[in-house]
Amino acid sequence: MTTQNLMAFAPELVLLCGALGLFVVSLGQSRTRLARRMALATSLAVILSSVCCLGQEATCSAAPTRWTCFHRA
Amino acid sequence: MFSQGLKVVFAVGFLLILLLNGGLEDIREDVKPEYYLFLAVSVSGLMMLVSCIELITLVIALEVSAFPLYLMVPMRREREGQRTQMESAIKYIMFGVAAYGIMLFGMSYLFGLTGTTSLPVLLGRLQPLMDSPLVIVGLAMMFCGLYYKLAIFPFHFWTPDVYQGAANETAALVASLPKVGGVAVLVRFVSLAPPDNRTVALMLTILAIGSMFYGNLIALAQKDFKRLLGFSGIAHAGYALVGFVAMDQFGYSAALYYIIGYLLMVLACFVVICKVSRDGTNVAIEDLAGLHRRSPLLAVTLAVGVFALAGIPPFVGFMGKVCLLSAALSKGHLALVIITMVNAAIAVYYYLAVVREAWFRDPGDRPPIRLDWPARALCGLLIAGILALGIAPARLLDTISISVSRAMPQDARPWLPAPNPNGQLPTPISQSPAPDG
Repeated sequence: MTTQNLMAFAPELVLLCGALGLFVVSLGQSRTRLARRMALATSLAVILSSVCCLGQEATCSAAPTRWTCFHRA
Repeated sequence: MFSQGLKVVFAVGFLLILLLNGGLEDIREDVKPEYYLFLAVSVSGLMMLVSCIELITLVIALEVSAFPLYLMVPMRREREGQRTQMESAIKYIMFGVAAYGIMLFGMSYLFGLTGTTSLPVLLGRLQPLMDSPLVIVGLAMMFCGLYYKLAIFPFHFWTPDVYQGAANETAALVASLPKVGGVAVLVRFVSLAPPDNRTVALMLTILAIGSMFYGNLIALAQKDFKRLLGFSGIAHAGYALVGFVAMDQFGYSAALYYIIGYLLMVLACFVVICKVSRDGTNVAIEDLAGLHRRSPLLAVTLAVGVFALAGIPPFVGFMGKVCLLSAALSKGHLALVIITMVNAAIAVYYYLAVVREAWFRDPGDRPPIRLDWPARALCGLLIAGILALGIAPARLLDTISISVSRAMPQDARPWLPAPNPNGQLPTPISQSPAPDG
């Protein structure tokens, strides 16, 4: 059961996008200042998205596992 | 509503920790970009954690939030050939693996009994079996992972060593955001148990008393400020459990309110640690001597943070303790309330020792501390937050109360009053009658 409302997951998505950017920055030559700026920008974007998403509701992959073979073992 | 509100808390906490980090003086130069990456991944894990209503997702979220922390602890710079950060990291990992292993084992019992991993379905199926020893053992084992995250006695052994061995910035993270996540998930789990379940209440009471006494008594003997905060963190986890013992909406809201306040209080103390220790070394309590002359703003921040932790009005720590004790008293847990008050009195002694060092000692030859504007802004934000939540808690408490009532679907908790046909929410705390006593 999955209801589609991507806005409800916007904070996580923004944060994961920021983490992906930080991963790219951390490759190769050490660029600490750029990484810090990117982390700060990500945190501000996450605050903004989480405030915008207050009240949004959605379910992502609820109960993927429902086996009955061990039921009341 | 429940998870979305907590995501705002995590987002703000993420920003506060980044501002506190400054230049990451005590982190190895070659891994600083990775440090920010792990910080972001850990916070995203915590955001997933508070959204979970499914056991497998919950385990994954717990691990996503914990594994980056395991890697961040040993990133500290080596000093004089000592590698205490490695020892801390290994302890952190080993205790974490053990606690999560026990939690998974407990989950397997519950899964075996109910045949589902979805929390609403699982709890519905568990209700008729609630008195079965296997269910009690399964639930108790499942809570272990959360007790570890909260550093509740007897899952606290990693805390002082990790606080001491990790860099100041990492210790600030470990001490703050994961605890909010732990309490939030505990609210989701415990709120599913019927309010008259004495076994769960007794288990939580024993853990709360153990944590409070252990944390406060050992903190009395500490000289290192971070170790002191580590042991006091164990005691504060015990205070938060007092709200859970009430096993009603007021108690859960009080616990969440307290832990959000704790986030601000402990970050206020860590700002001082990070700024007093310019080169990233650990700060002994005597290093705070004469802080009111070296940096008045830091001294005020420390005083506000420590007074709030001690539960002195008008700060958030006082109001949080009032809410927790009111919730416990309304359910007749008088002995627990008295024990909590005794512990709060013990804690005042070691907290005031810190303030005495900062405000009533001579700085000697210690140099003044200059703060840049992000540090000043952070101090101002934390002081304002601690004061605002202490003086005017009603709005936050109401929001938390409403979000707790929506934490799980109604059909999983048949003992709660159903919302009326207009979809009106349950009465907020500030409008409900005051608890007896």
